[in-house]
Amino acid sequence: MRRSYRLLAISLLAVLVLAACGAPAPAAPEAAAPVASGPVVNRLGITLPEDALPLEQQVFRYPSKEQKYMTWDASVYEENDGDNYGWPDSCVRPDKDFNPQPNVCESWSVSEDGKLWTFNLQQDKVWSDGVPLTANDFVFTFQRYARADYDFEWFYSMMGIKNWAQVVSGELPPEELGVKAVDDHTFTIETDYPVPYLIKIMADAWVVPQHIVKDRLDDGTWALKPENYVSAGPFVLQSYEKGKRLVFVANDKYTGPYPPMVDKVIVEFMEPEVRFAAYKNGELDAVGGGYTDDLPPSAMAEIMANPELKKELISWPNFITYYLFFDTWNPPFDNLKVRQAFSHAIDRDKIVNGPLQYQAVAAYTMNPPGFPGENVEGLKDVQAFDPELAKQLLAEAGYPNGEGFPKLTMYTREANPALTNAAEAIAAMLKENLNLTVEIQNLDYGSYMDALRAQKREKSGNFLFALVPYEFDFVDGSNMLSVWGGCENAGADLSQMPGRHTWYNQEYNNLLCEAGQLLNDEARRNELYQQAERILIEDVALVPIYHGIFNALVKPYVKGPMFEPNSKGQVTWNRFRFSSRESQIYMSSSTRE
Amino acid sequence: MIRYILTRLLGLLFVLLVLSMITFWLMHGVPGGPWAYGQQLMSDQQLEALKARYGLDKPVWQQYLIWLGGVVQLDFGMSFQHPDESVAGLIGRTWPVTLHLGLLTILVAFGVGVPLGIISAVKQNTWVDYLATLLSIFGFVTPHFVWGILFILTFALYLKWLPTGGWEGPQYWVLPVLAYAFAPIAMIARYTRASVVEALRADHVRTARAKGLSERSIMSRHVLRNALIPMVTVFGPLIPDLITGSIFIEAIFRIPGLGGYWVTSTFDRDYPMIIGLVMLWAVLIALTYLITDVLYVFLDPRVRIR
Amino acid sequence: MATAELDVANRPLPRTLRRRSLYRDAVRRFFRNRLSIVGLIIVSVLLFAAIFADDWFVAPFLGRAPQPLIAHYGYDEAFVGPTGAFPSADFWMGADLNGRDEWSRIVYGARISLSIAILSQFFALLIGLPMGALAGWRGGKVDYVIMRFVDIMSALPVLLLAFLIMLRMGASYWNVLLALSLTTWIEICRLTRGQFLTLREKEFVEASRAVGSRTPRIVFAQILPNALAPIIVSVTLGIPRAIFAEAALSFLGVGINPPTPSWGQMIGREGIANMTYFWHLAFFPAIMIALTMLGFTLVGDGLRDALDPKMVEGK
Repeated sequence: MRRSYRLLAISLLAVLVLAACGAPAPAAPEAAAPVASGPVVNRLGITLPEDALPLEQQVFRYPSKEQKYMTWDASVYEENDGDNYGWPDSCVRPDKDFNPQPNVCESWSVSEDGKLWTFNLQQDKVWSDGVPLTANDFVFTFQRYARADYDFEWFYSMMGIKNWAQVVSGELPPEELGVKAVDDHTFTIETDYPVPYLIKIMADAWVVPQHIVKDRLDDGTWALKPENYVSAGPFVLQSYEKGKRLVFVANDKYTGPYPPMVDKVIVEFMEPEVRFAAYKNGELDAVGGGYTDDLPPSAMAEIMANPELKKELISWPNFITYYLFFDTWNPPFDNLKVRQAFSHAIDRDKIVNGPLQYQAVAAYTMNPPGFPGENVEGLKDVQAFDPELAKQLLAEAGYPNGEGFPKLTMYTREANPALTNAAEAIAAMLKENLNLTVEIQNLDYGSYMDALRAQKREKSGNFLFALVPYEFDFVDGSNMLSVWGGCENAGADLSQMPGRHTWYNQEYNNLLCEAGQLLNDEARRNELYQQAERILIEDVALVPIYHGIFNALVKPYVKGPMFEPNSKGQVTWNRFRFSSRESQIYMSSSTRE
Repeated sequence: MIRYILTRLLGLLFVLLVLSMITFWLMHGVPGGPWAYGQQLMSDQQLEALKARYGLDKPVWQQYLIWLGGVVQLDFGMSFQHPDESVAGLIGRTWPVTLHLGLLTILVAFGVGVPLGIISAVKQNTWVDYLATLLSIFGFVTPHFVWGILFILTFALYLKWLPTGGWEGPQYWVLPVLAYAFAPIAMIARYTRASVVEALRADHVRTARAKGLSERSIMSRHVLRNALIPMVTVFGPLIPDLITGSIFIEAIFRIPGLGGYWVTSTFDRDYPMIIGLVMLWAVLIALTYLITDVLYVFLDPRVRIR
Repeated sequence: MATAELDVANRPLPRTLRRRSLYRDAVRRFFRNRLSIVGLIIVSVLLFAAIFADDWFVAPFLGRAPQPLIAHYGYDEAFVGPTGAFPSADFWMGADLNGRDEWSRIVYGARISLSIAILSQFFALLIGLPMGALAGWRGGKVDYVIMRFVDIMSALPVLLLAFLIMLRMGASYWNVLLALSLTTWIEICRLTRGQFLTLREKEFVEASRAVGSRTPRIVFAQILPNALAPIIVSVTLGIPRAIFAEAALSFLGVGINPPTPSWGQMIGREGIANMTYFWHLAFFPAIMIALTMLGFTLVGDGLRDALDPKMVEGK
């Protein structure tokens, strides 16, 4: 009996070890690739550069997290990575400097009064199933965006399209929407007022195939069915292995300005904690450059200490601002002096040089450096770190040395370790400089946004103090300021005012409203935004803490136009939403500079 | 016997009913909903539309009755996390993977744990015993997510023997199975040792020895058989645990199994999936106890069902 | 239902010894076991660290905030050392990414982790013991109702239940305690019931009844002391499990709120993510969890061996 047990144990171990050794290790492209004989031509007939690896090795792999939907028109916040290039194509496409460039929309014009836009489509555009892409597809796409249960509806509502709200609420049929097809290759957008930034939003007009979706009110499940994998972009979905990966292949029907070079793009689903390891083990070609903690502080420290890895690192600033906000409609934060005390008590430099090293720069404004309308220089002293002044202001507000101040909870939203570190550093500084006790409570996304909503809409009064990021949606001075206000709906209650926070300032709203309708005068608009932002910062609606920096590692054998710097000299590994990342790379037998 | 089993199964139905009510009440008390929350605040109109889309605009008791009505027809609803999959379909897709992992783990855990326990019992209070005890305590006290990461660092990154994760073939099974099996090995070894030690002390073993039976036949006929009885009750409950997966192991090793859904379902407010999982677990637990009890009757002639 | 007859895990003590000699023997047996003593030492050291992390017990009388004793700094004092500093003479366990002294956080973490583990067992005992005793002593309908309730509760998946509770109530120290207590009392209840069920049929209980002892006296003086042994063991062994459960909750982001440290949270939040370079952030809390589990497991094992009268000394 004993022997048989031992035998069983040994044989089991043997099976495991054999299984482990017998099977080949996963293919790693860096392992001595044979140089292709003759030029490499992909399935679109495009000849790849001379140093390209053979076609079967033109596979690009990067990590992501599995989400619920496969298409932008289902959900923007719960869509799988990759749909923006794999599926549809957008009307215009920003270049590396965020300027809109022709894409499916070859050209466009706007009427004298700024209220009618005309878009001309590329003539020979077809879906991957051979059906021509027409202006009707765009009209249908906008009709789909105008539905009440769509989570990005608020974004398109900023375009001021005629009858938008009525179509959303169902008062008017979708045909009444201000988006109309003139002919197969032309459509127009009619707006209620001039919208200077409309063309920038058209970068997110991701056309869907009407002949496939059919139902305007489909919740987005259509794109999960394999028979519906119909694309207009450079890639087309080959397979969706649930729980594992998405596999895209070059779309051989693609015609347009961004033809693909690599043959396959594989999106591997994995948790952030293990991505760096998988990258180092040759299972991924790129990692990082997203919102998850793919490259935590330890990874960054390791990269900086390792010359090989350091060469693969690409860093560039993101337009994102992490800030503290208050419920200014309730005590104690209805007192400006309290808010000012907080704003002067936090040493941003210590945070961005400490826990957030390589990941952030100090923030004193809502609009990050390099963003249209930003005024970083002009505003950087308004909330400068000054612990003595902070103490004094808190005392003036009636809380000398923090006495009598209520016990505070700082809420964070689905915080990754880095964000929690920042929150803890802030709490420590508030304790050190103002003698206040702050506990940090992390909420999951749903609970957090529910609380945020209740704070404003229902004036719940129990969500006083929190830390949250806002990332740009499109590159225009209006975008990030819109979190704090906008054109007032006449006679509306405070709780129904534009913006997501419990801070209100009529002058601020007026400035935003005026600038938002000013056509063909970008300079004047940005001037107005600067005035508005000054109000915001001086009234301490928020305490900006840091602007994020993106870090990504890309294997040296990945080359292509993607790595050419933009006008500021920055090499970026942008979200594919801009400059069509996956179409601008190929796998090479030589290494990148 | 049959009657006994039937009574137990009937009791299970009652448990499931009450359980579903408790779960329904509990999960609908959690703030937030299954929809995506954007960066901006939702309008009331949008919130209403979303609630209607997910059938959450009705009172909770009505939602419960609708759910119950579906269950009677074996329809557990559609998952909110994967809108194209039913709860049954989702479990059907992911559970086999987890089962695969779990069964391998059980094999390894028993294959290593039982011999380890027997050896340390037979060689009680020698260095072999101490070493085995130390090893099993070591395995028992270290969380398996720590093992998981350590294994990845050692075997994938440093030694480059195995991939860091995935679920494509045998070489992908080794690390997760080892990481997952560590704690059960330790537990099994400890309990096996305890029961064998106890069985060795029994009077009839002494008698057998006095009769001059060989050690081997004493071990197999008298000791192990008796040691098996208490082990059944201890190891039974291990099994549902192991075959329903661990979020840590599956997340760290990228295994497309069921384990993660025990947590993501609550994060995503996937109500149909939450309640589906609760039902699955309840049935598994009940069956395990039932099988354990029935096995017991066969193993221990002294126990009779009254 | 025949559950009771088949409930073999909770088999009674086969021989009833008088209380005094039982416990005196147990203590002797416990201290004769070298491993139990090791466990006891570990547990004592940890408890000592938890209690004397700072001078909370005199601070109120001196009218000031507690000052660190064993800890070097407050657990939330940031930027006292370089970001992610490795262990050194000044920072025995290094510093975390906010420049906080890891040693101090470990010591304060002992307070949180241990108190959660011990209190959750205490609350579980508070619910489980009376319920189990009631069910076992009264039997019949009371037993039936309680046991069906236990059946239902034990059929709930623990992690999922804890999660729902945490999401519903919000992450906090007391809610972690609540979630852990609510998921552990069942075992204690079952165990107690099993003990009472068999002990009440014993000769010495019958004898007490015959001489006219009243119920409370029988329960508290006769049955409870005899039933306690396996319960004590279960509680002791439940402590490491609670520490592990708290670690799991924190790992998934619904545990103790920062900046208050718990070992599980230290591993789960900063530790795991930064294990490849700042190894000390995961290593020390993991070692502490392992040590605690080891200590309580050894003590629990020792108690079981000591309290089990079947153990014939010296084999």
